[in-house]
Amino acid sequence: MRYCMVIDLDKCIGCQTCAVICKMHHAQPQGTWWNRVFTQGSDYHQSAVGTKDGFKIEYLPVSCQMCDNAPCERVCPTGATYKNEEGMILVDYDRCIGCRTCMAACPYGVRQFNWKDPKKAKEEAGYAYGYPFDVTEKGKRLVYTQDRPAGVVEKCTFCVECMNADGTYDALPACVRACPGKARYFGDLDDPNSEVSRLVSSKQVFRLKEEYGTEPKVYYISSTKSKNVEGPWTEQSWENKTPNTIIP
Amino acid sequence: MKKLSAKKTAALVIGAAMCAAGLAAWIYQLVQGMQVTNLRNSFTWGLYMGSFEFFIAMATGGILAFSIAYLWNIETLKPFVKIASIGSLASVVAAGVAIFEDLGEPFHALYMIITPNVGSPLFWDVVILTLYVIVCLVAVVLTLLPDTKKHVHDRGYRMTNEENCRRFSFIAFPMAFLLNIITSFMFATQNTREWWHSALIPVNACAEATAVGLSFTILLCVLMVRHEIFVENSDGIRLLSRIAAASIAAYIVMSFIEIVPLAWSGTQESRHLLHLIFHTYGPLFWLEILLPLLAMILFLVGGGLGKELVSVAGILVIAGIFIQRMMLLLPAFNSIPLTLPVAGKLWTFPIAVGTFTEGEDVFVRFWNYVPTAVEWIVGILPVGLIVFVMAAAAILFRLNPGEE
Repeated sequence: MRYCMVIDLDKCIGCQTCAVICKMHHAQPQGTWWNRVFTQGSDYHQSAVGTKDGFKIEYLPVSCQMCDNAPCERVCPTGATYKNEEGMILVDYDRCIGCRTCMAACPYGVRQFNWKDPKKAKEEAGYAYGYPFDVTEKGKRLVYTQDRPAGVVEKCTFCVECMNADGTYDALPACVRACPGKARYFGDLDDPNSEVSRLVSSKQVFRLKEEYGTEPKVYYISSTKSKNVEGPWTEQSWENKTPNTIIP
Repeated sequence: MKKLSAKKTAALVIGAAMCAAGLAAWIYQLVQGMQVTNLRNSFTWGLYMGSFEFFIAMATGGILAFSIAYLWNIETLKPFVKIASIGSLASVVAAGVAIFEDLGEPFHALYMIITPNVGSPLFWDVVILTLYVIVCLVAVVLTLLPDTKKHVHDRGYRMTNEENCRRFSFIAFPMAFLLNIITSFMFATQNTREWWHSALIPVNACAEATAVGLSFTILLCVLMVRHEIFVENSDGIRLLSRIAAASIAAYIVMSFIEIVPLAWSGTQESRHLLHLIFHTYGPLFWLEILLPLLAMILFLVGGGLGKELVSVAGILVIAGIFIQRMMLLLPAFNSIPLTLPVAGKLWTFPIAVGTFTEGEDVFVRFWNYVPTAVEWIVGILPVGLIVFVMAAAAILFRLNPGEE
């Protein structure tokens, strides 16, 4: 079994619901985001990027890519970061020494360090949130707890708290369930009949930074729709535009 | 009771004070979390990691001097091997402390032994660091043994200590280089960071370590060896200076060789990296080249190589290589690997910083890393440790030949 996620960029509306639900569900303190969505090429979210053919908006959600050849796993000196039987890259908070080598090794910038005690940070903010129960794998590896210790690294877990002991899911990951555009798909890549397998084999998909050999298990269905909202321009009018012109 | 010299006592007190200040700041960091540093998610290693790399390089010199003295039987180096070996021991312990300061959860460190990941370069770094501490300890004991000769003879040792030192040098000499090679694998193996992913990094690390390690050893000798012994054995110091100068030349050449493929590739990523190296951090890059270059000239054309001249050269190398170790980190972390070509331009995917400060960005593409006051004070601890160990050694042992 190898769980993977497929994200249809045609359906992504850049609403950031996946990022917010992930933050709430996993009790992430301020400044920490396991999942983030940006407008490709733009300094400002939801603002169009000027191309020679006109303006264009395309979003890109990025969380842990659950790599089959994960550099974070290979560099971790204590084995705190490991790949479970379902192919998910997880962090055992009890073993993490906070050396942050995994963060330096990860090309996706998805790993988040607890620079201060998350519990205190949330208390200071005046509210508590998140899935409240500890999750251990094989009864000994702490892969989720509401208040991670200060000084350890955390990241997306494919909502391991929703996974049963036999590796099946009762409820899909929070980001998949919450996505209003139903842009996210989750399932077993080893099962040829799963929806994710069919999408990966039938659609034009890509993975981020494949040149690093990380073999990510998050696939993106390439955007096919034209999102141009203005143009095409003449050579002269193009020269008068700045690349990141904001549409009011 | 023998009266302690004022200089040694002052050095001991200064070292202890530095350790106390560093330790207090470290405890503060452990209580408050690493938010007290200026490190964040996009820039995860800074002063502590740079110091660790730097002390590793410094630790190379003493053992090299020891090995060279006995492998090639250079009599004029032998009066310096006690100080050199203790200098290496102090530096490698300082490196160990510096890397511990960098850990977010140092109390979990035992898992490096309980559940080690033998594929991790950091694991092997800890292994080599531990072995090197043993190498330094053995070298220190061997060099101090003549002082306890009677005791050794009572136990029935047959070989002379000279033979032991020579035989041990066959292990110590390659270990000094292995320490730097394996430590640099932590960077060189990371193919997602263009600034680090190079087979030249371990080789260059050896050259840098030889230069700064021997410079540090020379400085220690200037400070701790009696003037007449220093002058009498100036050929030994001159030899170390020349090796340091040759290493500096190799380091400078290799540093520019690293730049050539970057400039040649012409990709947007490498252009961005070059911009960081030569523009954003340009002054630091030129300092890491020019300071050792000046030291090399001083080492080579210094004629009689008076104490003042070698001291200045040593300080220049130490400053240059420390900057070089920081420069290993500064452009690397600000060259974020997740980039996409959009509308003909390179677009970097922002990273969440990991903390929240009102009015400041949560997602960044560039982090202006400057160590905080707390980091500097924590960073003093390993330096204080070196000062303290050297002063204590000067008080406890007869480091100069013929000393009572």
